[in-house]
Order: sequence, then structure tokens, then C-alpha cells
Amino acid sequence: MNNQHAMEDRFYELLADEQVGQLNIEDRHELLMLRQKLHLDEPNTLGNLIVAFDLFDDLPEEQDKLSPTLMKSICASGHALVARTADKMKSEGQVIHTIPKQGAKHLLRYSAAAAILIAGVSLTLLIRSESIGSRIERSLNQKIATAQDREDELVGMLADAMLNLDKANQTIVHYQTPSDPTELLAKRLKLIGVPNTVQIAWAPFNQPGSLAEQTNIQGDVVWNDELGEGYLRFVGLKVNDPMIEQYQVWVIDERGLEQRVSGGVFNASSDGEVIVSIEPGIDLGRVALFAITIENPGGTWVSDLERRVVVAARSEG
Amino acid sequence: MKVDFLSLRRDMLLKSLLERVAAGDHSAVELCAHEYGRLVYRLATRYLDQAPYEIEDAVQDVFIEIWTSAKRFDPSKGSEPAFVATIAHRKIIDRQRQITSRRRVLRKIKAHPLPTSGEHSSFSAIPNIDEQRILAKAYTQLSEHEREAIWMSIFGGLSHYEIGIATDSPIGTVKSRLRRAMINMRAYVSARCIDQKMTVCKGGES
Repeated sequence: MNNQHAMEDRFYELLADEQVGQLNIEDRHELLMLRQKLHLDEPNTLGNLIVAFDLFDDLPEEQDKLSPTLMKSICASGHALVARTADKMKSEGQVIHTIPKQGAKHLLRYSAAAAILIAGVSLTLLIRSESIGSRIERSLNQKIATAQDREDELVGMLADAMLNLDKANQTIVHYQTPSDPTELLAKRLKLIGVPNTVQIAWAPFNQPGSLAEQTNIQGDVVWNDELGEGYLRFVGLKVNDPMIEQYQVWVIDERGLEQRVSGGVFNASSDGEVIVSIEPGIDLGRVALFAITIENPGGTWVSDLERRVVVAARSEG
Repeated sequence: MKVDFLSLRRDMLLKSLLERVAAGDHSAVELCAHEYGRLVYRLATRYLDQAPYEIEDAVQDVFIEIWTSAKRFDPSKGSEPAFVATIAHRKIIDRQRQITSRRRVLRKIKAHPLPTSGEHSSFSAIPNIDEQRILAKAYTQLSEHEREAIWMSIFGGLSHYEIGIATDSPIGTVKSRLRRAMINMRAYVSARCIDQKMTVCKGGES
């Protein structure tokens, strides 16, 4: 019984930590285990507190209204994603219990459409005997079918684009959000202890006839091929203005420099030690080299390596 | 497309807006946008010290997340507004961390009055009529340090490290204040819900 209480207390501790964003990997794992074991209620204290605070906020009225354009845009994104869901359900053979577009107010329009459809069917029956009527009907049906296909295609494209945009935004946020330095430091130290993790010191990224843009940068890369995870540590990296330029990480595996993969962009926002986590997002082979360049805000797909900073090359073997 | 009006009517009566969105019901989209648009807009205005077009961009961003997350909403686990508020909070705080200078955030937090537990606090005068109001009462029962940590974390979007700097406290102290505050509020709400024999007093997003 005591053990059960202790587990419940621990569950609520971890749940509290999760809601204020302080779970590490081990805690997450423990919470998952307790969740599956205990099946307790999970009060959304955070969400309810936000709603509670909102109830008593006295923002000026002009700050409380959505413009018609914004409302239209929100609804358009909703319709695009709902259409995508409906298409998916349709392809999986599920019956969709929904009005296809625009909302309950359109029930009347559907009734009207049904009446028109009945009238149309009656009319069609009347003219069916006539060859000209048949041709018109066939032609119209073809045009309607083509238009519907096109509409479905466009709605699908819009939904895909919105999902991609969302993913891209998440990626940008992931790489640009300053993480808690003490947390990153602890993760880096932990990774050093994992077998097969390598630690490589930075060197100036000089090329024949052209020196690196910054010198005297200390620090290293800690990287593990199996986990695809690593941390970059810099001391002495110049503070950048993210509105003008950002640092970009390049990960180069054994295929060589031409096949470089972006490991993300980051900012050096303090004069002291900067630690950045690196997750290239795709599977790489044995990483041979890490390089840092300076690029336009947001980074680039293909760097001309004109503004080079430092490089960390893995030794052979 | 096959339209099943009987099922549609049943869904409109029984299902929450997000469940209907997740089920592919277009008619729920406008209703949802009207129901939660102002809440999301107010949160964005409060959290982001930005130009109106930036606020609108953030609101649009939150709604894309709401539409894609609708299928995760489970009404048996909590209220729909709390679910929406949690999504909005996470997205807007992410954006705030990305674009707003920390100094500005700190200034804004300091300028915004911290709700207190004093007699004249609007929070302490709130009757216990629903879970959000009970929670607001629970907040007023916290110690000043706990309220400060919660305020900075939730409304300032500050990391534990930043709260530590702002309050001149070690990071471990900040973390334990936040944890204790969340646990105390949950316990307070849980006890009041039992007192009032509320059948549903659970949270939202898990």
C-alpha cells in the first residue's frame, strides 16, 4: 500500500515537472512507465491555470478582437486540414459524418442543393431520350468530375504545404530556442561517458590562400555516431546579430565535403562558453568532419563556404 | 461524398468541437475558431511584445497546431479550453523565446502586477464555481516565491535558469518551487472537487 502511495506521489511529481517543462530523458521514461502502470487521472493544471488567469485579464477591447482576415485565414487552414483528414478516412473506407464545407449554416444550402439535384435528375430523365441531352449531361458530368478532382488536389496541396510549414517552423524553433546551458552541459558530459563517443577540438577553418574569419576559438565537438547526437562547445565565438547573420553547422560524413549536411543554425549570444546541441535529422554514416560557417539568417541549403569559422576533423581509424 | 445527416446531428449534439474537427467535420472549424480565437489572441498579445502582424502570425500558427492536434483531445481527460490553452501556451512561448529579447520579457513581467493572495485580490474573491476558478483560488494559497516562479514560468516563458537569475535563486530552488506549486495546486483542486462532488475535475492535454 505504501509502495502504491509512493508511486502515486512520484507520478504527480513527474507530472508537475512535465507541465513546467523540466523533465529529462530518464524522468520521461519513468513517467511513461508510471502512466502505464497506475492509470491515474492527469489534471491539466497548467492549461486550467492559463484559462483561469485569462478569465481575469482586463486587456483593452481593441486587443481582444480577431480581424476578419485573420479569422478567414484560421478557418482556411482548418478546412484544409479537415479536408485532408476526410480524404484519409475516405481512402481507409470510413464513412464521413460531416458536411463537406463551411459549416452548419450551410445545412440550408445543402437542402437547396438537394432540391436542385432532384429537379436536375427529373430534368435529366426528361432529356435522356434525346441524344443532345445525353451529350450535354456527359459533358457537364465530366467537367464537374474534373473540377472536383482539381479541388481535392489543391486542398491536399494546401494541407501538405501547411504541415510542411509547421514542421519547418518547429525545426527553426528547435535550433533557435536558447536551451538551458546547465542542462546542455550535463547532457554533453553524459554523452562523453557513452561508449564510442568522440571528442574533437576545433581548429581554424583555413583554406589555401584564405584564412578563417575568426581565430582563437577554443572548444570541441562531442559526437556519437550510433545515437546521431552531439554537442558543440565554443569559447570565444563572436556574438552575432541573428537578424543579420547566423552560425551554421555542417556535418560531413565519409562521402566528403560535397555531401555536407546542415546540422542547423545557432547564435552566439554570450561572450563566455556557448554550448549547442546538434541533431542532423537524417541518418549519417561515420561522421568525418564538423564545420561552422556564417550564413544569412535561417541558414542555407548549400554553403559557398566563403565565411568559414572553425572545423573539427576526426582522426583516421 | 456521402453525407449522413443523422450521424451529423448526433455528432453535433454529443461531440466536442475538437472531436468533430478530428472526425473531418468542416462545420466545427468556424465554431472552434470563434470559440477559442479570442483566448488564443489574448494569450499571444500578452506573451508577445510584438507588432500586430506578428501577433496574427502567432495566432495562425497556434491554430494550425490546434487543428493537427485535435485528434489527441480526449474529453474524458479534461476540458477543451485547457487543452487549447496548453497548446497555445507552448507554441507562443516557443515563439517568444525565438524572437523576443529576454531583457524585454523580464521588463514586461516586472511591469505586470503579480496576482497576490491578499484580501483585495480579485482572485481571492472568486467563488468556487468551476475548476478554473478553484485553481485560481489554489494559486492564491501558494507562497509568494511559488507564485513568482509560476508567474515567470507560465506568463514570462522564462527557463528555470532565467528565473534563477531574475529571482537570485539557485536553479534547484526554482525547480523545487515550481514542482511544489504545481503539486499543491493539484491537491487543492482535487480536494475542492471532492467537496463539491464534482464528477469531472480532470485536466486536458496529456
